[in-house]
Amino acid sequence: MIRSKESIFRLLLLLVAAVGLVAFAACGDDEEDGGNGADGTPAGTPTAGDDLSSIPEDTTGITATEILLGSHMPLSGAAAALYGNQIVPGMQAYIDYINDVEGGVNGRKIRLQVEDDTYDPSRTNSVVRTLVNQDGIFALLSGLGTAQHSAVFDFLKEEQVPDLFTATGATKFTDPITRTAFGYNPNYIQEGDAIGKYIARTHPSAKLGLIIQNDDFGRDGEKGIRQGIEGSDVEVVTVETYEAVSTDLTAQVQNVRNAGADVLAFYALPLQAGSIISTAHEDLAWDVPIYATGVVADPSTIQLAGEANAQGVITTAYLRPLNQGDDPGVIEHQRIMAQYQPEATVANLSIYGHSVAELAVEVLKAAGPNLNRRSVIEAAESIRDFTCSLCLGPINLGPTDHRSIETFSFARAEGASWVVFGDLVSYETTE
Amino acid sequence: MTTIGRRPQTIAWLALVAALFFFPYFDTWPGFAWFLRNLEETTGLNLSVFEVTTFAVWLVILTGLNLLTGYSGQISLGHSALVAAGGYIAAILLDPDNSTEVPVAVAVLGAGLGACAIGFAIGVPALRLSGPYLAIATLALIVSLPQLLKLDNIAEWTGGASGINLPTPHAPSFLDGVVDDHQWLYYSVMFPAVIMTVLAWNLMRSRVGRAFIALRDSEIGAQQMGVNVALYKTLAFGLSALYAGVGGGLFAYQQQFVSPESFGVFQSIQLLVAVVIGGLASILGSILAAAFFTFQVGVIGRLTEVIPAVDRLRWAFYGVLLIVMMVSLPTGAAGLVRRLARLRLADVVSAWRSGDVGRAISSLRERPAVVRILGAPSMKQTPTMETKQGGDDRSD
Repeated sequence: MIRSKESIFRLLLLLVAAVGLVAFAACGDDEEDGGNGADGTPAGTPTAGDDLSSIPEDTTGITATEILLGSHMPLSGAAAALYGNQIVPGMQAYIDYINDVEGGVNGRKIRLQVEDDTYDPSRTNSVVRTLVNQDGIFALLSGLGTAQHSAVFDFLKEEQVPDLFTATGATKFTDPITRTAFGYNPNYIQEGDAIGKYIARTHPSAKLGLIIQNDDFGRDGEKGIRQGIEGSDVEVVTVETYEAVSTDLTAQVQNVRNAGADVLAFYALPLQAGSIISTAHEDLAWDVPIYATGVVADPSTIQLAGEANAQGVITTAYLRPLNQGDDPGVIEHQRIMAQYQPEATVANLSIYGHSVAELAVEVLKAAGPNLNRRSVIEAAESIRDFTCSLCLGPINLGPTDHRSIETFSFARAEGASWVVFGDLVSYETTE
Repeated sequence: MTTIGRRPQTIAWLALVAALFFFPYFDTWPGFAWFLRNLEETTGLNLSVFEVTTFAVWLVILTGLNLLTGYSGQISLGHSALVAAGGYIAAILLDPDNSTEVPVAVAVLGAGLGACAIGFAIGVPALRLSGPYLAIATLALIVSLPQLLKLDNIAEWTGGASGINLPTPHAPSFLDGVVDDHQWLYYSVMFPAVIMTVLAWNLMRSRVGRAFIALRDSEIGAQQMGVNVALYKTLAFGLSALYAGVGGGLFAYQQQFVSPESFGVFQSIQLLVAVVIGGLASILGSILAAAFFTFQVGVIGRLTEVIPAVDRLRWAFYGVLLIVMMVSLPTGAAGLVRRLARLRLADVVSAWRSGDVGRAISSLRERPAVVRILGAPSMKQTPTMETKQGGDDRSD
């Protein structure tokens, strides 16, 4: 009743071949923590006015000495190195610092329990249910990934668990507004809009070629850029797409050039960005101005593209980049990381983790000693003009605005790093 | 096996069904909850009601894959695509935004039938392909799936890359106080899963099952015996797709969310690995495969915390596990369980005393698979165990 050994070995061989093939293709098929969106105008409507009485004054996860927060991030698998393993040390270092130096918040130490979802939505579902039903977390902090967080968004809403500062640019979590849910990243439509306006200003009659990733991340970027150039003489001559699994974008760059574009903008991840920039500037020796999504604003992109090729590429940034050696916020971050997470690397994403933890601590402080699920939402909605030590612009939140970061800046590749320049661009709606 | 020999087996099956039936209530007992929490913290084995519900979902899917690969001998590397088809059909039917609100049972059934139709459609060209060629063709199916789901013209229904969110299921009001929402979800997934498994078990012992097995072992032989090769090969695909579709529908209902990222190539390959590890051509194998598939993530995650290298070596780990299984247990974990179940303590003791155990272990060296890897055993080993070696784990 068993297949002959011969065919079992063939099956085995086949599996090995398939795994190899796929592993080869799958390097870097992970979307940056973001994507999606419905419309660019940052205007939400509150579902229940200023009345928070529907949220219970629940104190699950809070004791006299401790506040238990949970999070879901990829800590193993392909996406772990990209996100979880960089962001979590940043968050943890700042929380340890607050627990150590200030004795926590209002006498309660913060404990952060991060569960590994391997970047798989069904795992997210399972780990978040365990966090809520079994571990009894007070709130979820910085759940990462659009599809991943989508899988638990309704569950958290129904259980009235505060869902703080989701690590994605998706507008679907903050528009329409859910009273218990807050976003963190600026969304790609706003960013695309800013890039579009910038192109219209600096290249008034440009023939624009776009390269976008074929998913919500790329589509939102395209939508934003089209919105930004509306009313100007800039014309989109071609939109080339690619699937997240492909890493060589020579054909797309060639097509953009053949279509007669004289400005290139793209929504791609760092790996593909390297290919786009080096193909255009080196292989084709095409001296075209390049505009890139802020997702690629990491020194690794410059390395991938080749330092000489990357010079002058323009992108956006919403947190202080690592290279600004004289920046007091970044120096403090490096110090905290060295003291509390000495084994972790300091990176732009550890800065991200630190900044989101700082906002969370600010909210917990504002909620006061009488901490519960209603008071923490009330406190979050009262955040005005809070500029964290690593932010470029202030964060404003309110009953009709659950988006945290809505201001950002442009940055240019200079040497081996990105340098912020120019004024802040703000899409803030809360005064 | 005589009827006396079967009795403990029947008792074991009944105990399993009873355990599954009362499982959601164990959870409410503090001592057991404490045990489960500690089990999760130490081993990473998460036996919450939700996880066991997930197990039931994968049980249906893996039973279907086992019908195709284990019984009829056709390899599908794209099984997740059929699961996705079922998941999306159910999600679209259940999506309140589409105002097509149908009962869950209808949606799941529709998912099964829809996937079944797709399975038959794939089954027809599959007739011309076999072995590796069929595997590559089905691999293409799953590789192309994300693009298809993100197509602009169907994004209105599939939700594009964002997927579809479904409302949380609630227990019907007349069961207030008896069954809470978690338990309701558990029963409404576990019940069809058990039914589907029992059906598969029955079917595989019937004319259809025998035809599948005959096809697998020798296509020409089966034809000579009067088996309609074309019919049964497509039937295997359709049946397996029906299971995948129902499983996918239950997946959508249980997770309340489907997206292109929920179904991937790696998942598809992992399904096949799970079936091989669980045991090909065996229902018990499907059950063990589902347990492996559901619970290994947590255990490996826990292992990663202790030994960080495990994460980077995850796929190497699967590979090694697979090779070890093939060499030492070609019938999978199910074969091992069956052999252990047949052991009698007295026999073990007497075998140990007479030195049979040592000889049995050294005879492993002479297995054809081991010989192929390590070469022929050196001459000083005495040839033994001619009778013990063959056939003991071959019967299902």
